[in-house]
Amino acid sequence: MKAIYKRELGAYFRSPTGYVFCAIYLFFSAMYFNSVLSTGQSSEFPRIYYGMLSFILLMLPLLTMRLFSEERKYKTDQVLLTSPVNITPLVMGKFLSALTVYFGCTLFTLIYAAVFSFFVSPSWPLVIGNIFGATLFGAAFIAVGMFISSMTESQFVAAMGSFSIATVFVILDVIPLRTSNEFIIKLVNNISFVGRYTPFKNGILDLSSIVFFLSITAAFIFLTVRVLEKRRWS
Amino acid sequence: MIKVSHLTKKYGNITALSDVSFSVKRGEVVGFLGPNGAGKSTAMNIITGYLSSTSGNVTVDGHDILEEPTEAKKRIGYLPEVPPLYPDMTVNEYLDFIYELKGAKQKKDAHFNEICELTKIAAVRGRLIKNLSKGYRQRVGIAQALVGNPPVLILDEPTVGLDPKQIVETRTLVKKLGEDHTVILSSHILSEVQAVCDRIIVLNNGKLIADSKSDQLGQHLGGRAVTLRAVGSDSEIKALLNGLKCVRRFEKNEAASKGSVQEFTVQLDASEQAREEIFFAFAGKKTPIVELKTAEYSLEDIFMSLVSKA
Repeated sequence: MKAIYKRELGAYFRSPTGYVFCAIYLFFSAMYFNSVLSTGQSSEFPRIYYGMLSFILLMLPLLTMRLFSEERKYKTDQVLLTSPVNITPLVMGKFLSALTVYFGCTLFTLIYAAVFSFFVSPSWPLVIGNIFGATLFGAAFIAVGMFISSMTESQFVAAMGSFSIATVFVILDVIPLRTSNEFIIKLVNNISFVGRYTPFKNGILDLSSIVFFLSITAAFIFLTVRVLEKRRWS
Repeated sequence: MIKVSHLTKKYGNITALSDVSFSVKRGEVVGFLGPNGAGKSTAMNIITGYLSSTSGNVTVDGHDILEEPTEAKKRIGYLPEVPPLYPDMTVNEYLDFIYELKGAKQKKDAHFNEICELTKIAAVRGRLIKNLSKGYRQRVGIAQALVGNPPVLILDEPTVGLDPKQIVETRTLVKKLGEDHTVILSSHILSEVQAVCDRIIVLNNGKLIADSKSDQLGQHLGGRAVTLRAVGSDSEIKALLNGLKCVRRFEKNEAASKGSVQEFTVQLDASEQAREEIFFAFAGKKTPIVELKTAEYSLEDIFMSLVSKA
């Protein structure tokens, strides 16, 4: 697992992908930081994370699209799958490498909190809680993107696939604003990634949200392993 | 070392391999021979655990590839048809990665030096793989298979796409590796397999159609062939050959016939006295034989005859 993790993490920064992802992340999060500053209220700090969520959904395919489709295109999956390593550690290594890049970007937001602390004392538990939530949120969607990447050998198709799913989730979040049907609002808030994030924004470590993100992550990592196993038998 | 029994692989309705069985002893160099699409790569992918068979099983050094995949895979170094290289890495980085992936135990620096020396890639170790020529990539592919020093090497068409000089170099390398490894090598180039392998397994349309020592493959044809040079006219010699019972068929070698000396390749039946019969028949008609020798079958002949028979 360590070997593949190191290789993948290196691959992000041997190509522009890693830098582009970080740059976009920093650009948008800085915009939100700017808008938080202009309100002048420290309680608004989570908006940096909360506002970023839709962007993150749309940006993550950049990280996940190459994970498995590139291996298939270059036929390097042959060396991975014929090496004395099980499939699960291979998948985990790849998953963790993408998560590391994403988590690294999330940690950049600590700079904003540090800047804040010169003027007011930010609520550190709130900041940490949001970083925690944002990481779970990202992990779940990275797992989804990785799963899609494992099904195709074209990076473009993989990116478009996860991008479409991201778009569906983003649009989903608009529905509660347009309807008064209690059931639909409740349903959407329960299945929407952004809706599930809301407790973190309010400084609550909501167990059901944590379980939601973790189970999505686990389910799609499991499905990715199955896809790779299945290919052997087809 | 490798035991393959009743291997069958179906892709939907297409049968890529059907009931292939063979075993390879420790230290043997075996060639898989067959036209494109014969099932060579499929067989290799199954032996290395990349694909699973529809039925039948493979054991490597006693470890079943499905039941103990890790143990079996540890013993195999595999060069697939397309070398599995990451273009964004340098050769050193790539070998490092493979070393860690395989969990190799050898002292890294010495081990890498040895491999790079053997495959002659020492000069390009710091270069990005995407900038390497096809020949170097192929050699990095072989180097990758050697990392961890597995006792079994499986090389899928190691010389395809190389220039003649590189082909000779790669063959020399494989021969050298064969001294202390068990090697399975595939090719559709017959002379290559003949040059490198102790034993040849011929596959066609997913079926094993021959399996024997490379120098004995000719016997599969049944009977023998001789090259005959005699002084006389074309029609005389043909009439003489037609009159002999031991001659199955014959063919004139136009290129080798000069002036009054004619050369024929003659297929004989298995009888012991065939050569004597020819001698006396020709002597009786005062048609001197100037040369009579056993003809070497080329693997091309063998191959064509096996394929058409099957």
